[in-house]
Amino acid sequence: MSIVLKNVSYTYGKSGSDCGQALKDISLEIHKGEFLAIVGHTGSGKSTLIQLFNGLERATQGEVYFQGENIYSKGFSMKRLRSKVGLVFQYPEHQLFEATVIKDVEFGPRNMGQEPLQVELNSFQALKDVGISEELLDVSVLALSGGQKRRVAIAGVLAMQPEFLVLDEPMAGLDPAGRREIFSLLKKLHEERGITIVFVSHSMEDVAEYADRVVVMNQGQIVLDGKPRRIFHYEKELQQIGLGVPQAAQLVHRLAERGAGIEQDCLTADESAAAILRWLEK
Amino acid sequence: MKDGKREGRNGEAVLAESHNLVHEYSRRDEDGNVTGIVRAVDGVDIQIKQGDFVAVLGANGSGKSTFAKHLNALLFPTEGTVYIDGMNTLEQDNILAVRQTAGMVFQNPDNQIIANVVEEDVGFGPENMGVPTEEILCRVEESLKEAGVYEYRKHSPNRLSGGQKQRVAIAGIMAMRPKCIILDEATAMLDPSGRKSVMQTVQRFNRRENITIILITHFMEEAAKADYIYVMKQGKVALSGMPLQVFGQIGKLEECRLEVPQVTQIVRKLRAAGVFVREDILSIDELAEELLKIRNCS
Amino acid sequence: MIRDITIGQYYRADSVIHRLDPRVKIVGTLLYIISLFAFRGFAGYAAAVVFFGVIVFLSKVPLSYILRGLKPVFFVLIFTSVLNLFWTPGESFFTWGVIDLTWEGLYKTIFIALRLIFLVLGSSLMTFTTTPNQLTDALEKLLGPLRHLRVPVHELSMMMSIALRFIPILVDETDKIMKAQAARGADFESGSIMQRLKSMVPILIPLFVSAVRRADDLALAMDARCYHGGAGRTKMHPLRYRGQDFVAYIVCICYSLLIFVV
Repeated sequence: MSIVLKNVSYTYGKSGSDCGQALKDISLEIHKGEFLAIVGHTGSGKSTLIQLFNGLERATQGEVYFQGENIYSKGFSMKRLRSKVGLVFQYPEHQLFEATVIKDVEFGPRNMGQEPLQVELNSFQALKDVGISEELLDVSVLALSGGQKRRVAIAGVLAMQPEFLVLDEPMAGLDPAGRREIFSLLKKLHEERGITIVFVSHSMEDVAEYADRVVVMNQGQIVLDGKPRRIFHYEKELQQIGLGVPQAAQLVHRLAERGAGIEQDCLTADESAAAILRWLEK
Repeated sequence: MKDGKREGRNGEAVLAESHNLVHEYSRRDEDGNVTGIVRAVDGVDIQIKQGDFVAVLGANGSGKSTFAKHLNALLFPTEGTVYIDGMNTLEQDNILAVRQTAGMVFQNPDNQIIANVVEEDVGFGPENMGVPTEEILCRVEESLKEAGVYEYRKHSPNRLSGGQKQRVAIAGIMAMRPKCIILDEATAMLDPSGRKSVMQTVQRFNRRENITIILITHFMEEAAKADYIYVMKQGKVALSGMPLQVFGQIGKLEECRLEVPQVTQIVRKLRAAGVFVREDILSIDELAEELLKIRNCS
Repeated sequence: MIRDITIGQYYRADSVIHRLDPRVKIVGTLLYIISLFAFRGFAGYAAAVVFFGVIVFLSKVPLSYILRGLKPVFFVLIFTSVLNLFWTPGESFFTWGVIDLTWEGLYKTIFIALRLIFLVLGSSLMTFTTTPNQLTDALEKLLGPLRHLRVPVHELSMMMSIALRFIPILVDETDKIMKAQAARGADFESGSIMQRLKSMVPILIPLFVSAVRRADDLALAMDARCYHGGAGRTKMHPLRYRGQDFVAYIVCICYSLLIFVV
């Protein structure tokens, strides 16, 4: 039960100045049940990478397997793949088009050929999961707030009942409370529904707080892959590729550089403060 | 009331001020009937001095963007008044001068670049103001250089990154020779490196040329760099003060759907545990320094 | 697919033709097109080919690149040629069954094909050597006198220039929306024509909403930068005729005089 990328490369354009390599020889396995963050500078290839997961983009070299099946083999159903690997684009609220909230959410499951009753049931449940209250079901999408629209858009993908939910910068443009709401929603889906979550992010604070695995991309390649705690040891390397580490980790690194014998494994403000207290008491 | 320069708290010139500013717009249904009136800005009094770097913080829908648009005479008060460099924005004759004095950079980098070539876009403002050709060329070159995008002057804006586009937009404002730049969530759609480059650019203009910066944002790390912060909630100023005074009120900030930077959180936690770190620390390096000092003393 | 079309694209090079004032190029192209329709007989077309050849040589745009511009009109060309070749009455020189070819038909086919080919080549050469900005500037200036007839010349040229800026953005956006809807199982390729038309709705509505939002944003941004129409505006790069432009005008006029000679 996983998505496997085997020696995948992706080249865009045919020839001339417009052509380039977005991904170079990438091998990656996403296991069921993970909460995975993909980080990287703009143009590092992360957006292309996630579009390989559900077959929207086709690798120019290499293979992609979903649950052991090669998705490029003849007779493989891309439609089924897309319902199993739900992909939420950046600013997904920009793709809403139906007159009412519920109708828009029903678009996905109906395309997947679910029974009419099932479509309604799944859409209803998805909206409930993302915290859209019942009185909003028949309201025009345009009447919702920014955060609500985004949650409706996520529900539109959830209603297809995916096992993997892949999101491209799900918190872009939201205020701190809005970000928190989206993340607690993802956490709930992960814990209660057992949905594997993959998200692209720029915020190392968010990555530190929520992800259990981080894949760092640079220039079309995976440069680091592991638990956040381990990844954030590489502060210099991350800075070189235009990324950083959370302030909490930065602080303990600074202290260690100045000769303090302090624990280095800090991800959050709480952990960092606790480590400092222990060090001061030594 | 055209009374020239006005003076603020400490006698310095006031660049922007609002008195009891109210902005209402009506919500309409599909047939165009008014279904309700929304008060987006509700009695805001703000005074910003020439050369200040001010942040207006607020969650989505707090009215901060609506407020910003008043400073550029893109919106007009329902009640109250706004003065920019002594000019009342309600007077028709002042509008162009107001817009030239307080330039505005918007959120979406794509939707504010008008021309198909970078340098032509920077020249757009001066062209509209009727600046002579020679002078435009001079200003465009200077602004592009100062904003660090001179090497792209012949490029199509479509090939630039978000951060570069925003710096082109800033150059476009600077070519109008403003006294103030308003950044209306101009960093919201950028990645961290783009955000950093935009912040560095405006900070440079602030320091070197004494340009007043009004930064509308919900990023606390950016607001931490300001001299003064206003926090808006439901159209009102809920909190204001120097960054430290504002960040000290974590509870109130959370009510405003905001949160404090991790450094501040750590300082608070340490103080609560009885470690006497200075309260006015906003950067990691400073905090590390302080902690080493404490450790060496004990 | 949309990107394959070369007509209307600028080819960056440093040549005499590139440096000419865009107004000269527009007027020159117009004269050239008129000449194509005015010429009778082979001598005129020979002149047209030679004139074009010289300009291409001077422009430093590779001939193969220019010829690619013919691709989109290829079928029109074949279609009109076949039509003229087989259905023009006159003195026949070849008969085989129902097929009856006439001298008149042959001449007509060749002339019309030449006209069409050089019409496309001539106008694409103009766009290869002139940036869209120069073109809109030149049109604004050339059509300037129409202002007195209350034609909003400045506004039209501003609209053209904004359209040029936003077309690539909207093309990208369409691509993104299509992918996002495909991720929700939308199918744009199979089904009857009606079904396919219907499948466009989830693309067109978001695209339309986005275009309106962008237009709104742009209008605000233009206001904020003191835009208030064409009155009192100065130009960063005003169009100014130089020596070479007058030479070019004279060359063009001399060429057009050939119409009366041959």
